[in-house]
Order: sequence, then C-alpha cells, then structure tokens
Amino acid sequence: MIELRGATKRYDATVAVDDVSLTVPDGELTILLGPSGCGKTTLLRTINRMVEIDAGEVLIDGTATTAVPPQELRRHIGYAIQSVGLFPHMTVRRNIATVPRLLGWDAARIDERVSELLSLVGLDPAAYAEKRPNELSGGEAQRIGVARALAADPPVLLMDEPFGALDPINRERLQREFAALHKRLGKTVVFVTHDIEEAVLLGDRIVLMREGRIVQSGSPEELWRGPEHQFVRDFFGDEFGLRILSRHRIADLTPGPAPERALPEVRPDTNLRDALAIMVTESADSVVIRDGDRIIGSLSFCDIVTQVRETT
Amino acid sequence: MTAYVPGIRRNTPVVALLATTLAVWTLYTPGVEAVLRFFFPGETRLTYDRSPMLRFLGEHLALVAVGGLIAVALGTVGGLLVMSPLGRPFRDVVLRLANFGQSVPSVAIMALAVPALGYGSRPVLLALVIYSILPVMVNVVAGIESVPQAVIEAGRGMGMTRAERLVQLQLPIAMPIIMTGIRTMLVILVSAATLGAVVGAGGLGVPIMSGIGSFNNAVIAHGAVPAILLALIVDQSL
Repeated sequence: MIELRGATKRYDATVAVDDVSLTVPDGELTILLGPSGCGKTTLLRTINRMVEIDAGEVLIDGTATTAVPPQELRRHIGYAIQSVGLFPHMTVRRNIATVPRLLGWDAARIDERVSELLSLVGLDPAAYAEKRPNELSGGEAQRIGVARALAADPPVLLMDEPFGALDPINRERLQREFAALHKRLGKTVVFVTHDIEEAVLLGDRIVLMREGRIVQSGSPEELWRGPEHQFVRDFFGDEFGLRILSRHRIADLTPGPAPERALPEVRPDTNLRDALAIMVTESADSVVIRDGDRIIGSLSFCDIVTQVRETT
Repeated sequence: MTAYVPGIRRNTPVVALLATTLAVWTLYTPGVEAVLRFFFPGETRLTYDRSPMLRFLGEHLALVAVGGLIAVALGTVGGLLVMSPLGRPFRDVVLRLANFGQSVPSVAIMALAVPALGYGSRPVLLALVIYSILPVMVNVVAGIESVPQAVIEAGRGMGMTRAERLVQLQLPIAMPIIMTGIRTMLVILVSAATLGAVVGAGGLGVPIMSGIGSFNNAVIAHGAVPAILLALIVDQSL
C-alpha cells in the first residue's frame, strides 16, 4: 500500500503538487489522470523520490520512503516511461537485466528471469533476447520496457504514459494485454495518463487531478455516477458513459427471456459497448446472448442503459 | 561491457596496405630512392640520409602518442567536469577557452614555450596538447549531450547512481562521438608534430625541414610521404 500524506512539491513560484493525500491499495491499478501540467507526473515521481517533496510524506507499506537511500528505494519499485528509455547500446537481455544486475543477482538467475519476462510480455525469448532496441518496433520496445520494469519482481510499478507513443491499434492491444497481465500478477500499479479512454479501460481507480490537487478519486463508475465537480463532468465529457460500457461484459448483467423474433447475437464475454454498437449497426433494440449452443437470454438497449447505472 | 559501435569506420584492408607501404618506405631505402628518382629526376640527393627514417618515425610516433594520451586524459576529464553538476556553469567558458587554444598556431606556442621549456620535445608536447584538447573535449561534451534524456531518466528511475549512469549509459552511448574526436585529434597531431623539428624535437619534420632548407623536393617528399601515410592510417584505423 502506498500512502501520500500532504505531499507538496513547489518549483519556484508554482506548486506542482499541492498538499496531496492519497492511498493506493495493494494490487490495484490506480490511474493519475488530468490535463497536462496538472502535476500527475510529478506526483508519480514523488513515490520513487525522483522528485523530492517539500512537505508531507510518502509511505510504502507503512515505511517512509526516506528511510532508505533513493537508489535502494528505486531498485525495488518498477519504473516504465513513455519513450521507453531502453538503453540503445545494450541487448534486450541486458536491458531487462538492469535492475537484477544492480541488485547483484547471479547470471543463471538473471537469464532465467529474462526468458520468463519475455514470454510474459508475449515475445519469444530465443528471437528477442539478443536484439538491440533499434531492431524493435514501437510495440515491441514498449513490451520490453514493461518487462524491464517487472524484472526484479517489484511489488509496486510506476508507469508514466507507457503506451503514449504507440499508434492507436498497438496501444489498444498493449492496453488490453497489460490489463490481463495486471490481473494475473496483482502488482500495485500507479499509472499516469492524460488519455481518458486508457484511464477508463485500465483503472481500478482513477485519481483526477487539476493544478496540483486531486479533484476526485474513485472507480471509473463512481466518477461517472457521482461527479462531485463540474470539472469531472467536463473532463470526461459525454462519452464517459460509453467508455464505462466497454469495462463491462454482457455476463455482468441480468438478461431477460429471449424473444421469439430474429435478433443479432452476442456472447457472454462481449463488452457492452460492442453490444451497443451491434444494435446500432443491425438497427435492433435488443441482442440475444448465445453461449456456444445455448441461448441464455436477451438484453435490450434499455436493459443495458439502466442496469449499468444500477449494478456496476 | 559490449562495445557500442554503430557504423564502424575501420577499413582493415586499406589500413594494412597503408601500413605495409609505410614499413617499406621506412626500411627499404633503395626502393625509396628508385621512387624518388622517378618523380624528381633532377635531384642529385634523393633522401635524407643523416639518420635512418625509422628513427624519425619512432620520434614522431612518440610525440603523437604522448601528446595524444595527455590530450585524451585532459580532454576527457575536462569534458566530464564541465558536464558534471558542479562544472556545468563553466561549460561555455571552458569550451571557449579550448577553442581559443586551437586558434593559436601551434608553431607560435612552440616558439613561445622554448624560453621556458628549452629546445626538444617538451615545448612541442605542450603545443600539441593545447592544440588537441579541444576536439577531445568538445566530442566528450557532444557525446554525453547526445544521450537521450529518456535513457538517463530510465536509468535513474531504476536506481542507478550517478556514477553507474555515467559508466554504464552515458560513456558507452557517447563512445562513437568521443572516438570521432580522438580520431580528429590524432590526425591533427600527426601533422602538427612535423613542426616539432623546428624546435629540435625530431620526428618526420626533420627531413621535411632539411629539404625545405636546401630547396630539395625529393628530401621533402622523403619525410612528407610517411607523415601522410601515418595520418591516413590513424584516420582509417580508428
């Protein structure tokens, strides 16, 4: 668990982080979201002391981050950034091995870990371990960046717009893979982005910031249902609801009986946004849910709209 | 640590050819005389024969090697210092000073240094070092400044100390640019060292100066050809 208590960072006249208190629960993916210049990256960097706060304190699992030297602290916190920052003169293997080497792991253990991590991020160890960063596509480089951040199996992962530099198709793929990876590994992740779509898709919790302060924090659904400020509404915009739909699957809702007329079919794991898109495309007011050979029931447009607000 | 050398410039066959030519020129006097007689049929004296060419080549190499080593050491340390947090305010001043050192003709430095250091290799080394610090230092600075900020930030974020970032990231990534500076410097040194003969430091300048003094083009060529070959070898082998 990461706790910030009254964290404040000033640069000359401006206050980048203004008396922020925040608790990041274990195993959750917390998004720091906000317009550029809102202090989200600075806030992220106070956690591994790349930015030293002027006031307040940061605790990880109850221990102040100032209790150990910053290098020591950072070696036990994963860190991945937008432009990846892969070391151009090192192979993928050595890049991933950076923190394990700093921690003095033996060669056999490092090799094993590198292979394990490459497989974890969906790259063939035999094909990629000896490549150089300039031989990688943007998506591959970003995967290596994530693998490198995970190398020493840190409980906490800090990510600063890790998918920001990718084209939309690759970005979405990596986002989905990363969401699955996060579910599997259960790391505590703090993730900075200015991309609302990404925030809503990935975040267990979203911390919306403006001018160095937290405007509102909570699950995407909480922010959607109960925005506490006009800024929250304005920032997420009219598509917020649609984006929320993409977080939930047909199986999350309670279906009604299947009607006798012909309707487009969806599967239980189809997300609600896609289901809605199918209705619009097929000019249908409902969809039938089919799981293999079995018809489970149906959901109408109204069912989806009302149930999402009530049950999620 | 694996070396990072993109766009290797080294041209081994050419270097081998140049080195063989240099060796033959230095050691096989009858052959040299035949060549010089072909190009300068009018000269009665074709070679500088008061000392073997091998000796001048040795002196020349020694001047270049010692001067080069000192310049690399000082230039690298200077470059690293002005890139350190403490030295950064002095970056521009130091680079301008080094630039100034390169603007002054090396012969002038030699001449000015003779009263203080006497004749021989010491004033020459002083001049060569002053002259060649700039290309080393400029390229150390340029090399380190060429390292992407994201690389440094990533290293810092993963818990590398400042020294670890310098040794594992900045220097290896800057190495191709630093090597370019060292190559430029050595080529300059090979030619500048020929002027050492003026103040009695020996080297390949001795036959050149002698040839100039006696209006003998063959003797000039006898010393100039190995100097040119040496410069080409240095340029092609680094």
